[in-house]
Amino acid sequence: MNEVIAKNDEVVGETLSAAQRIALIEECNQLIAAQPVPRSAKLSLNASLPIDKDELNAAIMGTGIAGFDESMSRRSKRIVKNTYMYADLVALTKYPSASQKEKRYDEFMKLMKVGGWFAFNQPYNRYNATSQKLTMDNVALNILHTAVSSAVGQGAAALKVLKDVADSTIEALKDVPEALGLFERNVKKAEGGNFCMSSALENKDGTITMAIAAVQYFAAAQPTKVLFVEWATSSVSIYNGSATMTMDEEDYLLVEPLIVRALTEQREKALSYEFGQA
Amino acid sequence: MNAGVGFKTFVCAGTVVLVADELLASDRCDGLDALLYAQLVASRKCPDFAQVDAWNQANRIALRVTGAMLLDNPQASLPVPMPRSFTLAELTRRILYQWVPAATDEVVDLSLDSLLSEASPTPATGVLFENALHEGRWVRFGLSLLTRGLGVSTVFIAFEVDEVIEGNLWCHRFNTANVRGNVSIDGYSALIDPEDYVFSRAKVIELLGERRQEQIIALA
Repeated sequence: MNEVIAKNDEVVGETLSAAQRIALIEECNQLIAAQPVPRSAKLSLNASLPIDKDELNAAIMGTGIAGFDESMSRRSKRIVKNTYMYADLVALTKYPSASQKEKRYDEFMKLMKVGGWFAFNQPYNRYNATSQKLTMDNVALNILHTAVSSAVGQGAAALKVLKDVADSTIEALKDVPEALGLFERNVKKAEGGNFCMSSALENKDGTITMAIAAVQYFAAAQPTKVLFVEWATSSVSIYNGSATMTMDEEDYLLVEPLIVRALTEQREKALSYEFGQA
Repeated sequence: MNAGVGFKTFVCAGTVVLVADELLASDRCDGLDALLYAQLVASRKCPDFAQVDAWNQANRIALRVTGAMLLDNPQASLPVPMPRSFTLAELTRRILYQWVPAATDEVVDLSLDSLLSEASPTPATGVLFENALHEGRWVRFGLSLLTRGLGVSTVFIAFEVDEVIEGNLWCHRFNTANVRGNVSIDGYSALIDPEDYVFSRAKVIELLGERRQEQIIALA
Protein backbone atom coordinates (compact mmCIF):
# COMPACT_ATOMS: atom_id res chain seq x y z
CA MET A 1 0.00 0.00 0.00
CA ASN A 2 2.84 2.39 0.88
CA GLU A 3 4.28 2.06 -2.59
CA VAL A 4 0.98 3.04 -4.15
CA ILE A 5 0.60 6.03 -1.87
CA ALA A 6 4.14 7.21 -2.54
CA LYS A 7 3.62 6.98 -6.27
CA ASN A 8 0.36 8.91 -6.01
CA ASP A 9 2.02 11.67 -4.05
CA GLU A 10 4.56 12.13 -6.80
CA VAL A 11 1.92 12.95 -9.37
CA VAL A 12 0.03 15.58 -7.39
CA GLY A 13 -0.44 18.68 -9.48
CA GLU A 14 0.86 17.07 -12.65
CA THR A 15 -1.12 16.47 -15.78
CA LEU A 16 -1.21 12.72 -16.17
CA SER A 17 -0.84 10.90 -19.43
CA ALA A 18 -3.41 8.29 -20.39
CA ALA A 19 -0.96 5.51 -19.53
CA GLN A 20 -0.27 7.04 -16.12
CA ARG A 21 -3.99 7.34 -15.38
CA ILE A 22 -4.58 3.73 -16.28
CA ALA A 23 -1.59 2.52 -14.30
CA LEU A 24 -2.66 4.48 -11.25
CA ILE A 25 -6.21 3.13 -11.36
CA GLU A 26 -4.98 -0.42 -11.83
CA GLU A 27 -2.82 -0.08 -8.74
CA CYS A 28 -5.73 1.35 -6.78
CA ASN A 29 -7.92 -1.49 -7.97
CA GLN A 30 -5.43 -4.02 -6.65
CA LEU A 31 -5.52 -2.25 -3.32
CA ILE A 32 -9.34 -2.32 -3.21
CA ALA A 33 -9.44 -5.95 -4.29
CA ALA A 34 -7.20 -6.89 -1.38
CA GLN A 35 -9.77 -5.61 1.13
CA PRO A 36 -11.75 -8.50 2.63
CA VAL A 37 -15.29 -7.17 3.01
CA PRO A 38 -16.73 -3.97 1.55
CA ARG A 39 -17.58 -1.38 4.10
CA SER A 40 -21.02 -0.99 2.52
CA ALA A 41 -21.80 -4.61 3.36
CA LYS A 42 -20.62 -4.20 6.94
CA LEU A 43 -22.66 -1.06 7.35
CA SER A 44 -25.77 -2.70 5.98
CA LEU A 45 -25.81 -5.12 8.89
CA ASN A 46 -26.56 -2.32 11.30
CA ALA A 47 -28.46 -0.04 9.00
CA SER A 48 -32.06 0.72 9.61
CA LEU A 49 -34.31 1.34 6.65
CA PRO A 50 -32.16 2.90 3.94
CA ILE A 51 -34.11 5.11 1.61
CA ASP A 52 -33.15 7.23 -1.35
CA LYS A 53 -35.69 9.62 -2.71
CA ASP A 54 -35.81 9.76 -6.45
CA GLU A 55 -37.85 12.94 -6.47
CA LEU A 56 -34.93 14.76 -4.87
CA ASN A 57 -33.20 14.40 -8.23
CA ALA A 58 -30.24 13.68 -6.04
CA ALA A 59 -28.25 10.74 -4.87
CA ILE A 60 -27.04 9.99 -1.38
CA MET A 61 -23.73 8.21 -1.64
CA GLY A 62 -22.33 7.43 1.78
CA THR A 63 -21.44 10.79 3.30
CA GLY A 64 -22.12 12.67 0.07
CA ILE A 65 -25.25 14.15 -1.38
CA ALA A 66 -25.16 14.93 -5.07
CA GLY A 67 -27.70 17.32 -6.57
CA PHE A 68 -28.39 17.18 -10.29
CA ASP A 69 -29.80 19.88 -12.53
CA GLU A 70 -32.62 18.87 -14.86
CA SER A 71 -30.18 19.26 -17.75
CA MET A 72 -28.31 16.15 -16.64
CA SER A 73 -28.78 13.07 -18.79
CA ARG A 74 -28.98 9.65 -17.19
CA ARG A 75 -25.55 8.89 -18.61
CA SER A 76 -24.04 12.03 -17.12
CA LYS A 77 -25.52 11.28 -13.72
CA ARG A 78 -24.00 7.81 -14.00
CA ILE A 79 -20.58 9.34 -14.75
CA VAL A 80 -20.85 11.61 -11.71
CA LYS A 81 -21.92 8.72 -9.49
CA ASN A 82 -19.28 6.30 -10.76
CA THR A 83 -16.37 8.70 -10.46
CA TYR A 84 -17.56 9.94 -7.07
CA MET A 85 -18.09 6.43 -5.70
CA TYR A 86 -14.76 5.27 -7.01
CA ALA A 87 -12.79 8.24 -5.67
CA ASP A 88 -14.52 7.96 -2.30
CA LEU A 89 -13.87 4.22 -2.13
CA VAL A 90 -10.17 4.51 -2.89
CA ALA A 91 -9.65 7.50 -0.61
CA LEU A 92 -11.36 5.79 2.31
CA THR A 93 -9.47 2.57 1.71
CA LYS A 94 -6.14 4.35 1.76
CA TYR A 95 -6.88 6.76 4.58
CA PRO A 96 -9.52 5.24 6.87
CA SER A 97 -8.54 7.00 10.08
CA ALA A 98 -10.42 10.03 11.39
CA SER A 99 -7.09 11.84 11.72
CA GLN A 100 -6.43 11.41 7.99
CA LYS A 101 -9.32 13.49 6.69
CA GLU A 102 -7.12 16.02 4.89
CA LYS A 103 -5.13 13.31 3.13
CA ARG A 104 -8.38 11.54 2.32
CA TYR A 105 -9.78 14.69 0.74
CA ASP A 106 -6.61 15.20 -1.30
CA GLU A 107 -6.74 11.58 -2.42
CA PHE A 108 -10.42 11.93 -3.32
CA MET A 109 -9.66 14.97 -5.48
CA LYS A 110 -6.71 13.21 -7.08
CA LEU A 111 -8.86 10.23 -8.02
CA MET A 112 -11.58 12.48 -9.41
CA LYS A 113 -8.95 14.00 -11.71
CA VAL A 114 -7.68 10.58 -12.69
CA GLY A 115 -11.32 9.68 -13.39
CA GLY A 116 -11.44 12.41 -16.02
CA TRP A 117 -12.45 15.58 -14.18
CA PHE A 118 -10.57 18.80 -14.87
CA ALA A 119 -10.66 20.40 -11.45
CA PHE A 120 -9.89 23.69 -9.81
CA ASN A 121 -9.75 22.88 -6.14
CA GLN A 122 -9.36 25.07 -3.14
CA PRO A 123 -6.96 23.85 -0.45
CA TYR A 124 -8.23 22.20 2.68
CA ASN A 125 -8.66 25.02 5.22
CA ARG A 126 -10.17 25.90 8.54
CA TYR A 127 -13.60 27.46 8.11
CA ASN A 128 -14.06 30.84 9.75
CA ALA A 129 -17.61 31.44 10.87
CA THR A 130 -18.70 35.05 11.18
CA SER A 131 -21.53 34.60 13.64
CA GLN A 132 -22.00 32.95 17.03
CA LYS A 133 -24.45 30.38 15.67
CA LEU A 134 -24.29 28.34 12.51
CA THR A 135 -26.01 25.48 10.77
CA MET A 136 -24.04 22.85 8.88
CA ASP A 137 -26.32 23.07 5.85
CA ASN A 138 -25.61 26.79 5.56
CA VAL A 139 -21.89 26.18 6.04
CA ALA A 140 -21.89 23.66 3.17
CA LEU A 141 -23.91 25.96 0.94
CA ASN A 142 -21.63 28.93 1.71
CA ILE A 143 -18.56 26.88 0.84
CA LEU A 144 -20.15 25.60 -2.35
CA HIS A 145 -21.38 29.07 -3.37
CA THR A 146 -17.89 30.49 -2.79
CA ALA A 147 -16.34 27.76 -4.91
CA VAL A 148 -18.85 28.38 -7.67
CA SER A 149 -18.28 32.13 -7.58
CA SER A 150 -14.55 31.65 -8.06
CA ALA A 151 -15.00 29.24 -10.97
CA VAL A 152 -13.48 30.33 -14.24
CA GLY A 153 -14.62 29.54 -17.74
CA GLN A 154 -18.31 29.30 -16.84
CA GLY A 155 -21.06 31.71 -17.76
CA ALA A 156 -23.05 33.50 -15.10
CA ALA A 157 -26.17 31.51 -15.96
CA ALA A 158 -24.40 28.19 -15.40
CA LEU A 159 -22.96 29.36 -12.10
CA LYS A 160 -26.40 30.42 -10.94
CA VAL A 161 -27.78 27.00 -11.87
CA LEU A 162 -25.10 25.27 -9.79
CA LYS A 163 -25.98 27.41 -6.78
CA ASP A 164 -29.70 26.93 -7.29
CA VAL A 165 -29.35 23.15 -7.58
CA ALA A 166 -27.39 23.05 -4.33
CA ASP A 167 -29.99 25.22 -2.59
CA SER A 168 -32.93 23.20 -3.85
CA THR A 169 -31.26 19.87 -3.00
CA ILE A 170 -30.73 20.94 0.60
CA GLU A 171 -34.24 22.37 0.76
CA ALA A 172 -35.73 19.15 -0.62
CA LEU A 173 -33.76 17.08 1.87
CA LYS A 174 -35.67 18.84 4.67
CA ASP A 175 -38.89 17.31 3.43
CA VAL A 176 -37.58 13.76 3.16
CA PRO A 177 -36.88 12.57 6.69
CA GLU A 178 -35.90 9.05 5.62
CA ALA A 179 -33.24 10.32 3.22
CA LEU A 180 -32.06 12.90 5.74
CA GLY A 181 -31.83 10.21 8.42
CA LEU A 182 -29.79 7.95 6.16
CA PHE A 183 -27.44 10.80 5.30
CA GLU A 184 -26.94 11.84 8.93
CA ARG A 185 -26.29 8.29 10.09
CA ASN A 186 -23.50 8.08 7.54
CA VAL A 187 -22.09 11.47 8.49
CA LYS A 188 -21.93 11.36 12.29
CA LYS A 189 -18.94 9.96 14.06
CA ALA A 190 -17.96 9.90 17.74
CA GLU A 191 -16.43 13.37 17.99
CA GLY A 192 -17.55 15.06 14.84
CA GLY A 193 -18.26 14.04 11.31
CA ASN A 194 -17.73 14.82 7.68
CA PHE A 195 -19.89 15.19 4.64
CA CYS A 196 -19.75 16.35 1.09
CA MET A 197 -22.28 18.00 -1.14
CA SER A 198 -22.14 18.56 -4.84
CA SER A 199 -24.14 20.23 -7.54
CA ALA A 200 -23.90 19.36 -11.22
CA LEU A 201 -25.23 20.46 -14.58
CA GLU A 202 -24.70 19.50 -18.20
CA ASN A 203 -24.38 22.01 -21.02
CA LYS A 204 -25.62 21.61 -24.57
CA ASP A 205 -22.41 20.02 -25.86
CA GLY A 206 -22.52 17.40 -23.11
CA THR A 207 -19.83 18.84 -20.85
CA ILE A 208 -20.61 18.23 -17.17
CA THR A 209 -19.80 20.90 -14.61
CA MET A 210 -19.80 20.10 -10.93
CA ALA A 211 -19.08 22.00 -7.73
CA ILE A 212 -18.16 20.12 -4.56
CA ALA A 213 -17.95 21.25 -0.95
CA ALA A 214 -16.40 18.95 1.64
CA VAL A 215 -17.02 19.71 5.31
CA GLN A 216 -15.32 18.15 8.30
CA TYR A 217 -16.21 19.15 11.83
CA PHE A 218 -14.96 18.29 15.30
CA ALA A 219 -17.08 18.72 18.41
CA ALA A 220 -16.78 17.16 21.85
CA ALA A 221 -20.55 17.33 22.24
CA GLN A 222 -22.88 17.56 19.28
CA PRO A 223 -26.60 17.89 18.69
CA THR A 224 -28.63 14.81 17.80
CA LYS A 225 -28.89 16.02 14.23
CA VAL A 226 -26.26 17.47 11.91
CA LEU A 227 -28.20 19.53 9.38
CA PHE A 228 -30.91 22.11 9.98
CA VAL A 229 -30.03 22.63 13.65
CA GLU A 230 -28.06 25.46 15.21
CA TRP A 231 -24.56 24.88 16.49
CA ALA A 232 -22.66 27.23 18.80
CA THR A 233 -19.70 28.36 16.71
CA SER A 234 -17.42 28.22 19.75
CA SER A 235 -18.15 24.53 20.31
CA VAL A 236 -17.19 23.23 16.89
CA SER A 237 -14.10 23.32 14.68
CA ILE A 238 -14.83 23.16 10.98
CA TYR A 239 -12.49 22.42 8.09
CA ASN A 240 -13.43 22.55 4.48
CA GLY A 241 -12.29 21.91 0.96
CA SER A 242 -14.04 22.78 -2.26
CA ALA A 243 -13.66 22.45 -5.98
CA THR A 244 -15.29 23.16 -9.29
CA MET A 245 -14.67 20.73 -12.08
CA THR A 246 -15.65 19.91 -15.63
CA MET A 247 -15.72 16.66 -17.54
CA ASP A 248 -15.94 15.69 -21.18
CA GLU A 249 -17.20 12.16 -21.54
CA GLU A 250 -14.20 11.27 -23.70
CA ASP A 251 -11.92 11.81 -20.72
CA TYR A 252 -13.97 9.33 -18.72
CA LEU A 253 -14.23 6.69 -21.44
CA LEU A 254 -10.52 5.92 -21.17
CA VAL A 255 -10.80 4.76 -17.57
CA GLU A 256 -14.45 3.73 -17.45
CA PRO A 257 -13.82 -0.03 -17.86
CA LEU A 258 -11.38 -0.01 -14.95
CA ILE A 259 -13.66 2.02 -12.71
CA VAL A 260 -16.70 -0.09 -13.56
CA ARG A 261 -14.69 -3.25 -12.92
CA ALA A 262 -13.62 -2.02 -9.48
CA LEU A 263 -17.14 -0.96 -8.55
CA THR A 264 -18.50 -4.27 -9.86
CA GLU A 265 -16.03 -6.27 -7.79
CA GLN A 266 -16.94 -4.21 -4.77
CA ARG A 267 -20.65 -4.82 -5.38
CA GLU A 268 -20.02 -8.52 -5.93
CA LYS A 269 -18.26 -8.79 -2.60
CA ALA A 270 -21.23 -7.15 -0.90
CA LEU A 271 -23.71 -9.43 -2.68
CA SER A 272 -21.73 -12.54 -1.68
CA TYR A 273 -21.40 -11.29 1.87
CA GLU A 274 -25.15 -10.75 2.16
CA PHE A 275 -25.77 -14.13 0.61
CA GLY A 276 -23.53 -15.80 3.16
CA GLN A 277 -20.88 -16.84 0.69
CA ALA A 278 -18.04 -14.51 1.53
CA MET B 1 -48.78 2.01 -14.41
CA ASN B 2 -50.84 2.80 -17.47
CA ALA B 3 -54.36 1.59 -17.96
CA GLY B 4 -54.43 -0.89 -20.76
CA VAL B 5 -50.93 -2.20 -20.08
CA GLY B 6 -50.93 -5.98 -19.82
CA PHE B 7 -49.14 -7.99 -17.20
CA LYS B 8 -47.62 -11.42 -16.97
CA THR B 9 -47.78 -13.24 -13.67
CA PHE B 10 -44.79 -15.00 -12.15
CA VAL B 11 -44.20 -16.89 -8.96
CA CYS B 12 -40.89 -15.84 -7.39
CA ALA B 13 -40.33 -17.92 -4.22
CA GLY B 14 -42.98 -16.70 -1.76
CA THR B 15 -44.04 -13.78 -3.93
CA VAL B 16 -46.40 -13.37 -6.85
CA VAL B 17 -44.92 -10.85 -9.28
CA LEU B 18 -46.99 -9.02 -11.87
CA VAL B 19 -44.66 -7.90 -14.66
CA ALA B 20 -45.78 -5.23 -17.11
CA ASP B 21 -45.69 -6.46 -20.71
CA GLU B 22 -43.88 -3.30 -21.73
CA LEU B 23 -40.74 -4.33 -19.83
CA LEU B 24 -37.85 -5.63 -21.89
CA ALA B 25 -37.15 -9.31 -21.32
CA SER B 26 -33.74 -8.42 -19.88
CA ASP B 27 -35.29 -5.96 -17.41
CA ARG B 28 -37.89 -8.55 -16.42
CA CYS B 29 -35.11 -11.04 -15.66
CA ASP B 30 -33.15 -8.47 -13.66
CA GLY B 31 -36.21 -7.53 -11.62
CA LEU B 32 -37.21 -11.11 -10.85
CA ASP B 33 -33.62 -12.07 -10.03
CA ALA B 34 -33.24 -9.13 -7.65
CA LEU B 35 -36.51 -9.99 -5.89
CA LEU B 36 -35.50 -13.63 -5.51
CA TYR B 37 -32.05 -12.66 -4.24
CA ALA B 38 -33.56 -10.37 -1.60
CA GLN B 39 -35.96 -13.06 -0.38
CA LEU B 40 -33.26 -15.71 -0.16
CA VAL B 41 -30.92 -13.41 1.77
CA ALA B 42 -33.69 -12.45 4.19
CA SER B 43 -34.66 -16.08 4.76
CA ARG B 44 -31.05 -17.04 5.39
CA LYS B 45 -30.58 -14.22 7.88
CA CYS B 46 -33.96 -14.67 9.55
CA PRO B 47 -34.97 -18.33 9.28
CA ASP B 48 -37.50 -17.97 12.09
CA PHE B 49 -40.86 -17.00 10.56
CA ALA B 50 -41.75 -15.26 13.82
CA GLN B 51 -39.08 -12.62 13.06
CA VAL B 52 -41.42 -10.76 10.75
CA ASP B 53 -39.98 -7.27 11.07
CA ALA B 54 -36.38 -8.49 10.92
CA TRP B 55 -37.16 -10.50 7.79
CA ASN B 56 -38.79 -7.52 6.10
CA GLN B 57 -35.84 -5.33 6.99
CA ALA B 58 -33.32 -7.88 5.73
CA ASN B 59 -35.31 -8.21 2.52
CA ARG B 60 -35.21 -4.46 1.87
CA ILE B 61 -31.53 -4.16 2.72
CA ALA B 62 -30.65 -7.08 0.44
CA LEU B 63 -32.59 -5.46 -2.40
CA ARG B 64 -30.62 -2.29 -1.80
CA VAL B 65 -27.34 -4.19 -1.94
CA THR B 66 -28.27 -5.18 -5.49
CA GLY B 67 -28.22 -1.45 -6.23
CA ALA B 68 -31.94 -0.73 -6.02
CA MET B 69 -33.05 2.61 -4.63
CA LEU B 70 -35.76 2.33 -2.01
CA LEU B 71 -38.18 5.15 -2.67
CA ASP B 72 -40.96 4.74 -0.20
CA ASN B 73 -42.22 2.71 2.71
CA PRO B 74 -45.92 3.49 2.69
CA GLN B 75 -48.10 2.92 5.67
CA ALA B 76 -51.11 0.71 5.26
CA SER B 77 -54.09 0.74 7.50
CA LEU B 78 -56.18 -2.34 7.55
CA PRO B 79 -59.89 -1.95 7.92
CA VAL B 80 -60.72 -1.65 11.58
CA PRO B 81 -62.14 -3.88 12.79
CA MET B 82 -60.81 -6.61 10.54
CA PRO B 83 -63.44 -8.57 8.70
CA ARG B 84 -64.47 -11.78 10.42
CA SER B 85 -62.77 -13.74 7.68
CA PHE B 86 -60.51 -13.02 4.73
CA THR B 87 -58.56 -14.62 1.93
CA LEU B 88 -55.06 -13.57 0.89
CA ALA B 89 -56.54 -12.53 -2.44
CA GLU B 90 -59.02 -10.15 -0.77
CA LEU B 91 -56.43 -8.70 1.57
CA THR B 92 -53.86 -8.20 -1.16
CA ARG B 93 -56.37 -6.47 -3.42
CA ARG B 94 -57.40 -4.10 -0.65
CA ILE B 95 -53.81 -3.16 0.17
CA LEU B 96 -52.77 -2.77 -3.44
CA TYR B 97 -55.62 -0.37 -4.13
CA GLN B 98 -54.47 1.74 -1.19
CA TRP B 99 -50.77 1.74 -2.04
CA VAL B 100 -50.75 1.69 -5.79
CA PRO B 101 -53.78 3.73 -6.93
CA ALA B 102 -52.90 3.13 -10.57
CA ALA B 103 -53.31 -0.61 -10.03
CA THR B 104 -56.76 -0.69 -11.54
CA ASP B 105 -59.34 -3.28 -10.63
CA GLU B 106 -59.04 -4.72 -14.09
CA VAL B 107 -55.26 -5.13 -13.96
CA VAL B 108 -55.15 -6.65 -10.50
CA ASP B 109 -58.16 -8.88 -11.05
CA LEU B 110 -56.99 -10.23 -14.37
CA SER B 111 -53.51 -10.91 -13.07
CA LEU B 112 -54.48 -12.42 -9.76
CA ASP B 113 -57.22 -14.51 -11.31
CA SER B 114 -54.55 -16.48 -13.09
CA LEU B 115 -53.40 -17.58 -9.66
CA LEU B 116 -56.91 -18.37 -8.51
CA SER B 117 -57.47 -20.48 -11.57
CA GLU B 118 -54.64 -22.80 -10.57
CA ALA B 119 -57.09 -25.21 -8.98
CA SER B 120 -54.84 -28.21 -9.01
CA PRO B 121 -51.27 -28.09 -7.68
CA THR B 122 -48.66 -27.01 -10.22
CA PRO B 123 -44.90 -26.45 -9.90
CA ALA B 124 -45.60 -22.72 -9.57
CA THR B 125 -48.16 -23.02 -6.77
CA GLY B 126 -45.92 -25.63 -5.16
CA VAL B 127 -43.03 -23.16 -5.02
CA LEU B 128 -45.28 -20.38 -3.78
CA PHE B 129 -46.85 -22.35 -0.96
CA GLU B 130 -43.58 -23.97 0.05
CA ASN B 131 -42.14 -20.51 0.61
CA ALA B 132 -45.28 -18.74 1.84
CA LEU B 133 -46.52 -21.30 4.36
CA HIS B 134 -44.32 -22.58 7.18
CA GLU B 135 -45.19 -25.42 9.54
CA GLY B 136 -48.81 -25.08 8.48
CA ARG B 137 -49.34 -22.04 10.67
CA TRP B 138 -47.05 -19.19 9.54
CA VAL B 139 -48.04 -17.30 6.43
CA ARG B 140 -45.70 -14.86 4.68
CA PHE B 141 -46.99 -13.93 1.28
CA GLY B 142 -45.73 -11.22 -1.03
CA LEU B 143 -47.06 -9.51 -4.12
CA SER B 144 -44.91 -7.30 -6.33
CA LEU B 145 -45.62 -5.14 -9.34
CA LEU B 146 -42.75 -4.63 -11.77
CA THR B 147 -43.46 -1.68 -14.02
CA ARG B 148 -41.78 0.48 -16.63
CA GLY B 149 -38.30 1.67 -15.72
CA LEU B 150 -38.03 -1.28 -13.33
CA GLY B 151 -40.14 0.33 -10.65
CA VAL B 152 -41.12 -2.17 -7.97
CA SER B 153 -44.03 -1.99 -5.56
CA THR B 154 -44.12 -4.84 -3.06
CA VAL B 155 -46.49 -5.84 -0.29
CA PHE B 156 -45.74 -8.56 2.25
CA ILE B 157 -48.48 -9.98 4.46
CA ALA B 158 -47.40 -12.14 7.39
CA PHE B 159 -49.27 -13.67 10.29
CA GLU B 160 -49.58 -16.78 12.43
CA VAL B 161 -52.83 -18.67 12.33
CA ASP B 162 -54.20 -21.51 14.37
CA GLU B 163 -56.27 -23.41 11.84
CA VAL B 164 -55.77 -26.13 9.28
CA ILE B 165 -54.94 -24.77 5.82
CA GLU B 166 -55.92 -27.06 3.02
CA GLY B 167 -55.93 -26.64 -0.74
CA ASN B 168 -55.00 -23.41 -2.45
CA LEU B 169 -53.46 -21.03 0.11
CA TRP B 170 -54.45 -18.10 -2.08
CA CYS B 171 -58.16 -19.05 -1.86
CA HIS B 172 -58.19 -20.30 1.72
CA ARG B 173 -60.60 -18.31 3.87
CA PHE B 174 -58.97 -17.45 7.19
CA ASN B 175 -61.05 -16.91 10.28
CA THR B 176 -59.77 -13.69 11.87
CA ALA B 177 -60.44 -15.11 15.32
CA ASN B 178 -57.82 -17.78 14.61
CA VAL B 179 -55.08 -15.28 13.76
CA ARG B 180 -52.57 -15.15 16.61
CA GLY B 181 -51.27 -11.65 17.19
CA ASN B 182 -51.37 -9.06 14.46
CA VAL B 183 -51.44 -9.34 10.71
CA SER B 184 -48.18 -7.70 9.58
CA ILE B 185 -48.43 -5.59 6.46
CA ASP B 186 -45.17 -4.29 5.06
CA GLY B 187 -44.20 -2.87 1.73
CA TYR B 188 -41.92 -0.66 -0.23
CA SER B 189 -41.51 1.06 -3.54
CA ALA B 190 -38.13 0.77 -5.19
CA LEU B 191 -36.33 1.47 -8.39
CA ILE B 192 -33.92 -1.03 -9.88
CA ASP B 193 -31.82 1.21 -12.09
CA PRO B 194 -30.67 -1.00 -14.99
CA GLU B 195 -27.48 1.04 -15.32
CA ASP B 196 -26.64 0.41 -11.70
CA TYR B 197 -27.73 -3.21 -11.83
CA VAL B 198 -24.89 -3.76 -14.31
CA PHE B 199 -22.62 -4.04 -11.28
CA SER B 200 -24.76 -6.80 -9.79
CA ARG B 201 -26.16 -8.88 -12.65
CA ALA B 202 -23.46 -11.51 -13.13
CA LYS B 203 -22.92 -12.15 -9.42
CA VAL B 204 -26.65 -12.36 -8.64
CA ILE B 205 -27.09 -14.90 -11.43
CA GLU B 206 -24.11 -16.88 -10.15
CA LEU B 207 -25.33 -16.86 -6.55
CA LEU B 208 -28.88 -17.83 -7.44
CA GLY B 209 -27.71 -20.66 -9.69
CA GLU B 210 -30.43 -23.23 -10.40
CA ARG B 211 -32.78 -21.49 -8.00
CA ARG B 212 -33.59 -19.07 -10.83
CA GLN B 213 -35.19 -21.90 -12.76
CA GLU B 214 -36.65 -23.64 -9.71
CA GLN B 215 -38.20 -20.66 -7.94
CA ILE B 216 -39.08 -18.22 -10.71
CA ILE B 217 -41.93 -19.71 -12.71
CA ALA B 218 -44.30 -18.04 -15.15
CA LEU B 219 -47.99 -18.71 -14.67
CA ALA B 220 -49.90 -19.62 -17.78
